[in-house]
Amino acid sequence: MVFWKNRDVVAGLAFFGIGLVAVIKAHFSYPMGTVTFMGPGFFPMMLGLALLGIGVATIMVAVGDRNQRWMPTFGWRPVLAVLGAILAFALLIERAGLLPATVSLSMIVSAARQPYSARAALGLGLVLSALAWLVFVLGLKMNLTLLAFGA
Amino acid sequence: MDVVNAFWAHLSLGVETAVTWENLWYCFVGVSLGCMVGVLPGLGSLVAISLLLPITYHLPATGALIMLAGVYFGADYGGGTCSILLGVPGHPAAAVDVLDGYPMTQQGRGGVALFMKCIASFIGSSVGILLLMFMAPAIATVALKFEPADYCALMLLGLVAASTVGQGSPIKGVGMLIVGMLLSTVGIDVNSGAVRFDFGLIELQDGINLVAMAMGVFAVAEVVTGAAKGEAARHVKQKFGLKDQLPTREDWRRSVGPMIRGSGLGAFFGALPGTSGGMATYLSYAMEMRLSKHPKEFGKGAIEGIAGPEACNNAGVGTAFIPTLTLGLPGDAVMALLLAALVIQGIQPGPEVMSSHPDLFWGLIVSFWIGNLILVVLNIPLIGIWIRMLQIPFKWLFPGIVLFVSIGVYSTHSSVFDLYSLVVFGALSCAMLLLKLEAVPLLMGFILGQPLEENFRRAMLMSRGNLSVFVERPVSAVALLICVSLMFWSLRKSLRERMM
Repeated sequence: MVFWKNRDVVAGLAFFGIGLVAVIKAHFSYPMGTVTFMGPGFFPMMLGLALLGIGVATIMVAVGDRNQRWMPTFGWRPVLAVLGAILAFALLIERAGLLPATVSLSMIVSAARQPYSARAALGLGLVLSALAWLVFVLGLKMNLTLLAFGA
Repeated sequence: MDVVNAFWAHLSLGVETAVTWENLWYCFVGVSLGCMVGVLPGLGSLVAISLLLPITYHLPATGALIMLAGVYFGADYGGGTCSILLGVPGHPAAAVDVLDGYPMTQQGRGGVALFMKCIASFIGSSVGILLLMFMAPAIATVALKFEPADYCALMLLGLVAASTVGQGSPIKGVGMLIVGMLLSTVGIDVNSGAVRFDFGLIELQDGINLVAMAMGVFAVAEVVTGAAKGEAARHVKQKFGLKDQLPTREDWRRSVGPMIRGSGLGAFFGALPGTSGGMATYLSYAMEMRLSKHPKEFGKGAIEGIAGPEACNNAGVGTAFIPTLTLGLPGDAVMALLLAALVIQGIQPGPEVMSSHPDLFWGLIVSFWIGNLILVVLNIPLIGIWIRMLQIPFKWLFPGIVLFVSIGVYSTHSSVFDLYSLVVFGALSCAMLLLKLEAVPLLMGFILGQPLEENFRRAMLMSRGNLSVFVERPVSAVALLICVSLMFWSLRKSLRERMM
């Protein structure tokens, strides 16, 4: 029995965990009020309790299921490439400007697929920068600088 | 005659609002961009609207809504084009078009399939829009008498329907719904001023950015799964001149009936919550197969298999706007996003919108018609553009999509924090793919969580904490009854499948 590979068991645990956080936070940090005059803690408490129940139910159904539903195998490459690219864009957009942010986004995100060609990714990044500048800065009048130094 | 007079008055007000250069332009841009995104395999109207939502932040309210509705129509339509030409559904709702559309393409009649789809979709949407125009005022009048308890119960019904009907596991669907509602409580509580679940982050005091969340759970997940797949063959060899598209007299004769029946079926199901995503289109397909004189042709290129479901789908799009615009109760995730766009523009959705912003309301509805006319123009003579769109290799496309997502999220509040939220929601969406959890209930819970809490609090205040108000008011009692039976039914169905 490898419970933690059964996707419904993991989903149930996740629901239970989120519900637990909500209940604890609602109980200790926010006043409950009464049913007539509800405080800020009332609704989150209700949701949290419901989620605890859903979590238990999900796990119970998963355990009683006649065929175990395993988690699919997952390619981490595209996930890391896409999320990493957005992260790089976030770090660079204000510090370095639209051009460096876009080029690094393109260079990282292209790694989602193999074969990876740095030159093609760089070229695509430059083309995308030009397009983004045309569409967002010139067309939609957004306040983005192409190159920012030391800001 | 009052109804007819009111209809003409509304129509002329709508035309006045919608037929200005500015609004026609927004409509045109929305429909074209929607078509562009929708025609790409895997990207449907939900992704298209999430992608283009940030652009409308800085537009006037009417223009923003007109553009988003155009995106919806365009994307919905584009998905079918992809299904017919490649045999790969552009999005789940367009999967039914593959059944007969793709065989027609293989037989060299792809142009005819596209043409008939265009006509059927225009007729279907016209039926839906007409129904919307006639029924909306009546429903809004009734709705003015609704109390918070009624809204509360109706919202719950919509949410439960959207997260149990046609989804995987109903328990997990409801779980995601509650997670979405919990996310909606992040930030300042309007009633008490207390800041909830901010975990010490100042940026979270204004709540979670809807655009970051929608893009994270819909667009990022699509790009990641798309990037993981190989490059599909996307060659369309046929020519699509006007001559190749004209249906024969026989095609017309066989399509009229399905279009009318499909429109009726779609109009009915579209107005109900939780029935989007192509359920009604499959019903229409099955019905045409049953009624047809040559049922054996179905699945091998029967024109009825395009005309019926396509009219059905588009009639449903029109009537889906009825509860959304008159009651502020969206039946599916697309409607929920449009509702959120309304809130972003500072308009409180509900039955008052029609009287407080009549120009927006009727202008929007007339723009639906204009949008569908634009679709006809864009898709019969200009079909070649979309076919070329389809042939752009994915490896060039997805960096562009990721860039568009990033700039879009950043532009809503010029905030880098929103980009970090995007990364978090992107990671969440990948975890959800692993655990087979649905994003639609998450988003709907997030959008409707706040109005649900507010109406619940108000209902309890009015009844002095007496919960029986929910069963004493007929509207709320019926809604809750349906809600409970829906939950019971879907739970039993899923347990039977799993346990026996």
